[in-house]
Amino acid sequence: MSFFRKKQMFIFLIGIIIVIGLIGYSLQDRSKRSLPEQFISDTVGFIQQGVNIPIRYVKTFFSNISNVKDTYNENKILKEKVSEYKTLLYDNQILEEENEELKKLIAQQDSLHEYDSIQANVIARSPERWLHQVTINKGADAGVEANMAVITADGMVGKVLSVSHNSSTVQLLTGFDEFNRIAATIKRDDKDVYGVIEQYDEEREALLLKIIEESDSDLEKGEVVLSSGMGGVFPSGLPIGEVEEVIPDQYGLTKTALIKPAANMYAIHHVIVVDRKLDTTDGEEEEIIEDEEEDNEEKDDEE
Amino acid sequence: MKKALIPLSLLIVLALQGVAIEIATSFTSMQDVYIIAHWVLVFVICISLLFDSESSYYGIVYGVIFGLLIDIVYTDMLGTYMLGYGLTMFILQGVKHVFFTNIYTTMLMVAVGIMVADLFIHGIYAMVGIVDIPFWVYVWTRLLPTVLANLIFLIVLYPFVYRRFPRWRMEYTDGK
Repeated sequence: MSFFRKKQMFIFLIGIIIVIGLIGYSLQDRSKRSLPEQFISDTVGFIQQGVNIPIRYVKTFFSNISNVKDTYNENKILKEKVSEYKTLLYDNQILEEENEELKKLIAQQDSLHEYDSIQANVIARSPERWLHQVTINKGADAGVEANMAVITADGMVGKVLSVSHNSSTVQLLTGFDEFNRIAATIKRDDKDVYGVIEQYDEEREALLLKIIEESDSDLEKGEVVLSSGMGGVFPSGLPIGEVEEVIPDQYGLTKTALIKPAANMYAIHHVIVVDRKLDTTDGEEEEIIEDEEEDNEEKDDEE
Repeated sequence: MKKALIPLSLLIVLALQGVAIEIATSFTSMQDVYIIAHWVLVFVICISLLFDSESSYYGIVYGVIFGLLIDIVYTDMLGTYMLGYGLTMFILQGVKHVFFTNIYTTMLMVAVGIMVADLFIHGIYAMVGIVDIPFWVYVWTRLLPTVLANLIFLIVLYPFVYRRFPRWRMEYTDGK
């Protein structure tokens, strides 16, 4: 009996050592999962996707019923809007052509604004709700990489945290801490406001935007905050949220704006993973060098 | 073939609990009350109470293995659920012989088990710095709703397993 107790104690101690090792290992900053982790999350993701197919049918059925009720009124309003949009469309086409021509003139291929989109569905949410993570059904095979921005039709919802072959984990904005910053901007006619979104404040239920460069006029409630693309990872122009309130920071030197996220973090179904066309800053440096060489050659030609 | 049924259903429960949380959040959008699905733990406690014989440790073993799987799939911080579930099952292993197994004692065991596991996991997260809220706020907004919601899952699960598990145990021990 005493031998058995000793054995139990022994196993218990070894268990604790293993666990502490595992926690230490996982607290490292790692964007790519190890092979067994990828295999397991792909397997579970596969089951979840299977379960999600009938659920999605039921969901769409119920939402269809509630939609039918409002259809008539919505239809009226939408018809009016469509006629507005037609003129907008022509404007847009003209502007786009003009934009392309201008870009050709200055020999600029891609801008910070352009991106490829990867459509995905949310298949599960982490039961550990402290972490604010959801699983989506596209992974490395579809071209998803860590740190890509994830948006819905309303606006930004988060960024890709880790990637497996056929599924990946998304960190929602509500779970952003000081290690996940977004360079953000508020567009003004005269002078744009620049800032960095530092973290999500759970008590105030808002993102904290630390304003770096102020404009002359104060921020107003309801102004739209966009990503600026200066952080080197996300494209510019993704809507993040609206200004709710502006507060001074604890030393009174800078101002912090409280931003209400534009997208609803609690009802996400279809998302778009955004792949910025312009190389991200941690891309290979060789390409940059090659580009420079090309530029030099062009200059030589001109001379 | 039958031997694979328990791990297989555990894997499906593991996958379903993430889907269930996603559906629950999208329907209710309750933002003040946080419910964490510990379905795997509920299932493992049922295994421990109904399937384990006096000398077998399936409960602890499945607790540790599927705790680790939860860590891998859902949390990205390995080891917390593994140790939390393992420890909980270890404690229950010592306590369970006191009671005669029926639905009420199972409910009691599940409630206590989830409290132990969730407190432990919350403790580790608080230590690492992921969570930072006062203890009593945690108890009222997260721990109690979590226990209640998981008891509902137990009530749904219990009719499926309370005859089946003892029968499987008999088949296993006869086969040996």
